[in-house]
Amino acid sequence: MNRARATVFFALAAGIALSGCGGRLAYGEMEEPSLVLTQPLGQTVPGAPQVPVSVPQGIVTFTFNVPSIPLAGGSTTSQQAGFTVGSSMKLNQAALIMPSSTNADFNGLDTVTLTISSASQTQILAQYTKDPAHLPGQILRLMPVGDVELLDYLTGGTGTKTLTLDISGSGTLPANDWTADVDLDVRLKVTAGWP
Amino acid sequence: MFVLIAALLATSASGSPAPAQASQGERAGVRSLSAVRVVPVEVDGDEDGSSQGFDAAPGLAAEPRRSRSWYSLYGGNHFGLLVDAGVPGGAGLAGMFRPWSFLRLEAGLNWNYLSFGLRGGVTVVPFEWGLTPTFHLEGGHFFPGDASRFSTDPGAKLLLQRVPEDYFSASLGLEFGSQQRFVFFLRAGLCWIRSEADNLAAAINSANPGTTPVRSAANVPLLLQVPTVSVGVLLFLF
Repeated sequence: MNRARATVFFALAAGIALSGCGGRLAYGEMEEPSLVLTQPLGQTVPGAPQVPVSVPQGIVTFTFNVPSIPLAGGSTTSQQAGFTVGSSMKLNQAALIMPSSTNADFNGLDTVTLTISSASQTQILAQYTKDPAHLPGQILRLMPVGDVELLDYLTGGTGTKTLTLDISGSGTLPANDWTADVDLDVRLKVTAGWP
Repeated sequence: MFVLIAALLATSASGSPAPAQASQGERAGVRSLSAVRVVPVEVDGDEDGSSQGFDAAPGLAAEPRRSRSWYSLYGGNHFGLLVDAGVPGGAGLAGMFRPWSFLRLEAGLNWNYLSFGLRGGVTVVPFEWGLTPTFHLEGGHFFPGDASRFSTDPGAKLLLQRVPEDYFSASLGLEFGSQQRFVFFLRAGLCWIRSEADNLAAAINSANPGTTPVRSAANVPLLLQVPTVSVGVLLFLF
């Protein structure tokens, strides 16, 4: 019996040692599943004639301010005080939300594409395609395309950083003047390990 | 009524034939008493204390053999009190139950400077020695505590206002002392901590005054794996 106990004991001890030495001795992980950043579009878009038009990329471009988030950093991997810190910020969903007082809606739009760009690269971030059975009303939701790492597109120094976004699309624009808030629903993950 | 029913006598000499041994013992006039066992025996018709029963059972009575099953409890002290302190677990007080010599169960209270919590643990003692090794598993929950006083940043203060914690640890230990009275122990291993931060939206907005950049945020689960070290004493009561 003693031999069996000793065998179990040393097997457990070896397991603990391997789990500690094989991986990282200290490890931390923080994951925010849904963080909704919002910003006004910043301008009033005049009403347009009720004819289908196409808005090419590069016409409507704006910067989105990303607030200072603890540990988010500006790179996906970094070394801080001996710890290897990895961060990731990816899009869950983007939305254009008209104030309820606005006498307009997005029902005439057929497609909307949200493109993200930096000095060195450009990529489609999210897209909307009209579903006649489910018209958007005053809230236009764009679903992510691909698995874009937003931190690769963050620019700016310490504190608030910015993302450069571009909206293009096709369809019939709202007949009345309108404005909207731009919401970016992102998920954030930060890991830190030592050694 | 007690009756002496058995006595085992043996001479100290050995290796010689019985008659020679007896005669040698008689010559020396010395006999050694190896064991005497006194047990109560009911003797029918022996109310008057006569020697009838004594005469009827003059021989040795075989000691009944104890059967030990796996569920038979440990013969030593079963209950004790444990006090320990360490990082990151904090200080704790727990009651201990030892059903078998190789297994101890613990349950009690913890305090980690922020709040109180509940704890439970299992300790495996593979063998007892001068320096006894142990394998210890422990889990617990700390009720939400306020850690905002450790930060001056307004955003961080909001995040740290309510910090709950669940933890699980696995450690190896060494124990010094008597396993029936009092032991001092030292343990080291790994600890896994799960916590959660709420108020993230308010914390970010507070850190970015003048704007409302965050509309909403879910609670942020936080997982940590860190080394753990603790020391303590265990007093076996009964």
